[in-house]
Amino acid sequence: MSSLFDALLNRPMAEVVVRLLLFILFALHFLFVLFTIGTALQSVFYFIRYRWGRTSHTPDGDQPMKSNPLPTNQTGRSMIRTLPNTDQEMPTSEPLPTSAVAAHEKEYAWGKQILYSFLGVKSLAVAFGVGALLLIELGLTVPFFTAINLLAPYWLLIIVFLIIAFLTLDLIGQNWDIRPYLHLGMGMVGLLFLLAVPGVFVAVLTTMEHPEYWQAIINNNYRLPGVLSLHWLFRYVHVIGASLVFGGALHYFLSSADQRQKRAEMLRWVVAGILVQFVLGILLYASLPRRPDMLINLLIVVAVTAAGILVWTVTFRQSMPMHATVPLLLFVLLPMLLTRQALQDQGTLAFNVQLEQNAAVYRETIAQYSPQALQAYEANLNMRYDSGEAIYARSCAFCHGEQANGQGQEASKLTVPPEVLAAVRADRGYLDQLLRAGVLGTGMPYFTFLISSQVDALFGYLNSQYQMLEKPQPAQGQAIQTDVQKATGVYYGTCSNCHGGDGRAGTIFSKGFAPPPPDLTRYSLTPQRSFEVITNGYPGTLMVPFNNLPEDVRWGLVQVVEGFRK
Amino acid sequence: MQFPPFQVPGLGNGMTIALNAVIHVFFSHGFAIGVFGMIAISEYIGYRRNSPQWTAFSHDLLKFAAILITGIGAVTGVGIWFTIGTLEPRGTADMLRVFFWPWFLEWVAFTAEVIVLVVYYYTWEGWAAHHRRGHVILAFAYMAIGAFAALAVTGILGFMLTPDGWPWQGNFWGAFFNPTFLPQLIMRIAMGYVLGTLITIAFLIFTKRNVPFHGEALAFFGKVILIAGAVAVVSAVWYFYNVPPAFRVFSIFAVITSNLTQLSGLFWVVNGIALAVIVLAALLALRKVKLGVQIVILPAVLLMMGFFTEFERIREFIRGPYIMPGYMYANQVLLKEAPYYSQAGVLPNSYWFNASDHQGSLDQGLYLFGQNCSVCHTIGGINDIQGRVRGRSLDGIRVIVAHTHDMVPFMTPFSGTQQEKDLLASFLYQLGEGRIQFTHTGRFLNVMMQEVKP
Repeated sequence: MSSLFDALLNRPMAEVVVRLLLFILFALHFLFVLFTIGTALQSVFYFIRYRWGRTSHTPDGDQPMKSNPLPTNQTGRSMIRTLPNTDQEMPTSEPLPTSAVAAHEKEYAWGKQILYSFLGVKSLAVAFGVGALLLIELGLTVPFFTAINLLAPYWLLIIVFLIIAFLTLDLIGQNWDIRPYLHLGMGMVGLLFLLAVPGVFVAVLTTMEHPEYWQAIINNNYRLPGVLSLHWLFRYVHVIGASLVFGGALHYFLSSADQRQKRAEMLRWVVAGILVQFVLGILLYASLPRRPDMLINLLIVVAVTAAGILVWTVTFRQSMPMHATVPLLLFVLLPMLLTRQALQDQGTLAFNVQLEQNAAVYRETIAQYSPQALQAYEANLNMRYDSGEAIYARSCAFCHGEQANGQGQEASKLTVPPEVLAAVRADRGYLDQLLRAGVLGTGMPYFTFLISSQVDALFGYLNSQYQMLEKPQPAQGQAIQTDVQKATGVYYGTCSNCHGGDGRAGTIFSKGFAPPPPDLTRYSLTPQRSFEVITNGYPGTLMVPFNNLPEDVRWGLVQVVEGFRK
Repeated sequence: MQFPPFQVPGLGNGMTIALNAVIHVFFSHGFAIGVFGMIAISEYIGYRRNSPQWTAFSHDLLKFAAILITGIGAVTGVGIWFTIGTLEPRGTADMLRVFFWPWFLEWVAFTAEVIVLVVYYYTWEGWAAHHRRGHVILAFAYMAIGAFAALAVTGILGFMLTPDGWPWQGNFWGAFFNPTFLPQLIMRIAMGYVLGTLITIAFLIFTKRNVPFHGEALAFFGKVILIAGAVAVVSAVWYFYNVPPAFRVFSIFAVITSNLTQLSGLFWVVNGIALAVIVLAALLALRKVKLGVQIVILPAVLLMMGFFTEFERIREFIRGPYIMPGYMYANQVLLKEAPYYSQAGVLPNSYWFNASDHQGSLDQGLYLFGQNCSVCHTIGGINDIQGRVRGRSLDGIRVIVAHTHDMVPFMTPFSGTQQEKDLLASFLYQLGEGRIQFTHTGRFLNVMMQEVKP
């Protein structure tokens, strides 16, 4: 099953409903996105023009003004504070024409008024965006998730970009009268981050709509390859162009009827925006990676015609009566959105059907494993991982054996066999270290996830079952002969090279051994197990067999070794 | 295993999702529920008592809160969809299919919240003279919608830990109104009020107001904290009582992490101190001790944020190896898929990994790591896998890979054939020994790696 497949659970509603709802919510989201970007662009534009640029129109609309009409000793901010409204004269020793001051103040007011609406439009853009996101994840599960996955770093950065953009723009929206350079800095930062966001969205949609390019994207180091990147660029600037049109329209309608000059200004945004869109639209059309069909061409003709009528109407009437303009704007927006939808369908509709068919096959394939999976889940749910016995059985026994005899199911696969825990006689602190650090050069991992009460329970269990925390008892039995004197000589002649003269290991020779020799003052074994290790060695380590030594010497070594234990 | 795996380098997937989600919780609970509750109540008091101070305070607090709610709270809310969709796409897709309607209703509530907030915000001055009562009603409508949104989300979050009978019967209502639903809902709202009221006090105490108003408002907000705090504590106990012991047993570890496991008593000491500081802040406010409140209020706000972080961390961590208990592991392998993969293999069944192009074991090992382990472990970042395997023998790592879920119950089991286990073990062994050179960019496909000769 190396083909892609849709999510295996069924969708909670018919696909056609998902598609319809998605179209509606995406349209609303997109509209408010255009308002949001347009609002930010215009507010920053008017702030810059108010503070540093030329004011081209007076209230009469016919007197071009010189740049920077402010007196040199007075900032725009202080001037405005002394000028509550345009009807008042400016209290300055260097009088300016009243009309110039009034026009200037108006631009100040426009920027403020425009940005004040930012909090509302951007919030609605986000809200509608979430709805569209839910539906696209439901309807185009694999194409969408794959697209955001392929462009993951950029997609995740949107969160940061939006927070920066929203906070900076809203802060100056609510506190317009801050220092001009701070205002400009915040405005520019907010605007730049905001403008980056549609760039990522457009890239994600472009990727989603072109599954045939996914492998090329991976091969291109997770970036759009040439054809798609050119398309992305024109699509992105087309969105920004649209924001000029719809931002202008929004603030035209939000202006009161007596703000004639502002309304005229907003009309210019609409007309200029549409003209720019004509040019960008041609480039976008030319860059489409797939050949557009008749329906797409027809929709584009409708949108372009409506836009042309709008430009003609606005230019000759010099106003935008709502009853005529809103339908025309809708006749531009809706066909364009339908065009986008049709282009998206070209790449995803048949593909999604195939994914669903693949999912049905795969669902059948794995259905047989369901009972055993649920059984294992139930067993896991009933586990209580807080008793020593449970912890041992679950986490230790597969290597150390259920009887702690070192014969767990995995023991035979390990070059360094698991220790026979039933034979260990060690102090608690040393065992703690082994448990928490593991043993280098072996398969013994560390268990730092056990909290102190669990460690207590585990050692409590091992001690109650195997006396792990006791000291080793002397070897029992008549048959055992020991030659401690010879053994002592052997120990200091041979064993001490690794285990150290004091049994603490850490000699120059054994430094870096993995696994390291144990500290015999804190760690020992039952005499029988010690004898086995001395006789047979410890496989996979540098503890070699000493079965060439007489048995009484080996038993003597057992005593020597035990003698170190404190 | 449907999507090319991606990991946020350094930070890892879990921490990325958590960072965004916890910030969102501060704002969605602390501000949208808590602070907004205080805005509504303050406006109501101002309206009932005809008190310009209460009304002005409410308005100032609104301006402060609205920017943060819409600028950070809403964005990090969307951010949850962004992060989980990118880092846990399969889990997100399936969760969405099970819980589409609660999530859709939560979205409707969120949109309604935004619309009401926008209207409330922009009509403050316009309605001041004649429609104040209507404006107050709008505030309470916002609170009600916020509580409904919390209800919708809590059902889903509760399911992720206690799905009740859903894995067997697939019953939606049982899954939604699961055993931890009600206590968690009450706890979230109560904790939201505690945090929000502490923030409100901080705003009050550090902005200019006249002295009698300061005292009156402090005493009122102090009472709110004590009542909401008591409800939060009781519901927290109720909540944990309903979590299955198999999961609950890892609660303390979830907070103190590997570094402090042997000082687990610290967990209770720190939580006790944090609770004491918050109660102290409330009592000082109740007694109108302004200087005392000024000293403890910011630590109290931070500690309350700490409680939120702690709760979310525990809830997310202890659900252990599952993203959808009984259905899907955290690494997005279905429970019933794991036995299939152990026979059929992961690599031959991956759309993204073309085995014929990647004969080298490094590519295969890295891809298997990406699919199986990268949900929690990074390479060189948080929860670094290199430190976990450094110094272990190759055969030891093979055994560990085969028993991840036995050895550590909250780890997912490995999915794949024996040969794939060996490929992953070999990759991990070489990684641990420092024998692989590459810059980890968070990708597991098409990555340039070099084997370093020892």
